[in-house]
Amino acid sequence: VAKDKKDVPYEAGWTENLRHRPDPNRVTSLQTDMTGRFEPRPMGEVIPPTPATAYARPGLASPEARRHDPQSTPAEPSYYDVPMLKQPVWKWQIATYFYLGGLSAGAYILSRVAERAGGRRYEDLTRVGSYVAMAGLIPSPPLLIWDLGDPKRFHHMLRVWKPSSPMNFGTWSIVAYSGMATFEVVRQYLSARGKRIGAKERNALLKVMNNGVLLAAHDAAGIPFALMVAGYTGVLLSCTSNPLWCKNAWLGPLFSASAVSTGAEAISLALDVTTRGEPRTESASHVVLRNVDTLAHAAEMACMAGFMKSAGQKAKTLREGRMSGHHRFAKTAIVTSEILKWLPVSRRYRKPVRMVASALGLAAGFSTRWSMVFGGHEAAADPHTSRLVSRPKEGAAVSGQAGRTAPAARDQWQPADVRMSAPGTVAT
Amino acid sequence: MTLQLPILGDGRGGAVRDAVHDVVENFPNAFPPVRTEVPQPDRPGDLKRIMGFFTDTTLCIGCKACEVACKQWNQLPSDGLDFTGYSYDNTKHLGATTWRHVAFKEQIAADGEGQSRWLMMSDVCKHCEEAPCQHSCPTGSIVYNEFGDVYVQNDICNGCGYCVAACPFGVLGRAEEKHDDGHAHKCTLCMDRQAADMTPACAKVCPTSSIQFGPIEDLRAHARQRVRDLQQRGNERAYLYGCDSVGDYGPLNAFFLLEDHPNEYNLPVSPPQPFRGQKTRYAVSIAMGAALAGAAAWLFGKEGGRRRG
Repeated sequence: VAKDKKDVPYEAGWTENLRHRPDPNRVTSLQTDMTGRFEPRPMGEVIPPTPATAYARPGLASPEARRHDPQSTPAEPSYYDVPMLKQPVWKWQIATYFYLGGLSAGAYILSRVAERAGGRRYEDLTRVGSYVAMAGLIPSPPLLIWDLGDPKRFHHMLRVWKPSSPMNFGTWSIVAYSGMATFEVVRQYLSARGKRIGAKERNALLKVMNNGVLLAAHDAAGIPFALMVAGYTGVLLSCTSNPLWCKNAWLGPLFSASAVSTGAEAISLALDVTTRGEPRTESASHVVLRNVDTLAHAAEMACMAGFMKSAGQKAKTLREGRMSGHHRFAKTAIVTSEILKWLPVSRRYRKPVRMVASALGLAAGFSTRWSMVFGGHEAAADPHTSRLVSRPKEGAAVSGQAGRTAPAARDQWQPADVRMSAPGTVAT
Repeated sequence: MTLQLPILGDGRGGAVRDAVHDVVENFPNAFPPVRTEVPQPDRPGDLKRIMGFFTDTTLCIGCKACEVACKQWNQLPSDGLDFTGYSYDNTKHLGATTWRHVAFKEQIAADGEGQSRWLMMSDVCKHCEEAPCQHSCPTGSIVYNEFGDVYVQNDICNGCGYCVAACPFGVLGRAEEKHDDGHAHKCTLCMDRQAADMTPACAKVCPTSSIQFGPIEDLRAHARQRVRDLQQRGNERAYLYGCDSVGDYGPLNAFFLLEDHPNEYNLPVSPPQPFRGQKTRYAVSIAMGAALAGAAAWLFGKEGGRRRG
């Protein structure tokens, strides 16, 4: 009582700027005193509900009546079908970044692995791969910053090291990865130029960069960082309450596999664009890229199937909603590009067919990210789907309620389902 | 938390200790934040108690005084005049500029049987004990303040929007109107008023004590007693939402007394805790990339060897 009566003390320094305000606290008479008011009543006899106090459950109106009466009771409990969740605020910039970032990381991994495992035979692949990785990386930070509500504060992500937040972890991964990718692209550029002008040995920087120990350390750090950049985006989406993404373990591997496949296709396409003609036998780089791409596509299709199965009804937007077109296109394009790639064609058509297959694969990767990001918008905006994410599984035991199963319908629902206060079990 | 390193003794050591402490504590941060003292429960003079809201919907009369008081005190802009047709609710949901929202649910008894009724509930940020928004925030903008409540520090927030997608109650919004700052906003549980030893604006104006503010243990004890009273009087459907926990989700520091299915109030039955299992998902995701990289290495080696030989 006494503390309500006294003047506002303004003890905290930052309340300085509030002083000019009039005190809106004029309704003290309405405020009841909390202290000591809640003495437990003695337990008496439980009064049985009477018709006057008991609430009769409204019957379910016919679909026809429901259509014309917004206040009729819908089939499932809801608040006028206002969506329970907020739509994500992430737009095309994020979908595009997920694509380009993954592509860049995939190309970087393949380029480094090619040099490590295959040596000089894949020189063209290594060099073009590093350029592709850089080309995918350069637009990524601007896209991420563009999507922020307050772009001039983008550096606040780097204010803390908070790996429990996938976005913070991803930002740090990109920072580290971009350093590695830059190192690699500089090395490749110097190496190519040095060969042309014949002054390789004089280039002190290149000499340092080609140092075996340094390169080994570079790969030991760079490849894991690239794996993180390729894989964290799916985990980021799965760590939300959005019905489509929430806790779906297939999203991460799906994005990882898609990163490797789009990386392989981008390198293949870049090799085809930058070379003239087609040799008699297909080059070793193309052969391996095709095999890697097929493996990654198989993994991607498996993850996609796993994702759809585990999301169930929550992936309605991908099955029959607005994102179903993108989803279908992604799957069809992957299959088509695989067929085209393995088609035995004559040397004359080999290159154009390969390029079309690569382009189809790249488009499929983009559609995958697009349908996942915008499918999240659709899922949160759909009232039924937004309720599904917080519904216990049918038949699953409700936590803390021995012998009770989750209610299927409104009529079977009991207050005890939210773990509280059936008469007699109230703790005081 | 103040980091106390055992090797550095108990606070003596002066400049060297401070320097070492600074380096150790700020090492991973490129731009170390300006440190603010966090209240410690065992330090005299610091606040110890977690404060929260108990919203008793059986007492709510739908006057919307809480909405107005919240807007006035926090200087939030109007939501515009938008007639929804959903009873007297023209606000629809919580958001960046709506931190209290009164839900009106009309339930019309069919065939003249029983009693038609109105469910009214003043909705607010739940100030979860284990808040996904706080977990998701990549800038460290969302913190637990000295009153144990979830607070968005607006001088830190850069509007990434992760918390908007992370909140299982759909509370947070990003201010995206033309002249807005683009940051995420939500109920602060009137941290400024609490710091000045005042009751939050909505609880202060509530004419029926439907919104009650106080130390969370006291509120919980009172709420349990209130449910018992209601059940004794025949309202057997009264129950507490978020007092102990909601399904697998931890307790809420702003909890409710409800009379019908949570979805009737647009509350989730069993909100997901999206960060549970995060490490497994990381492992699966990176393992997929590593497996494909390994397969690529094998193919590169095999093909290279064959072609060479």
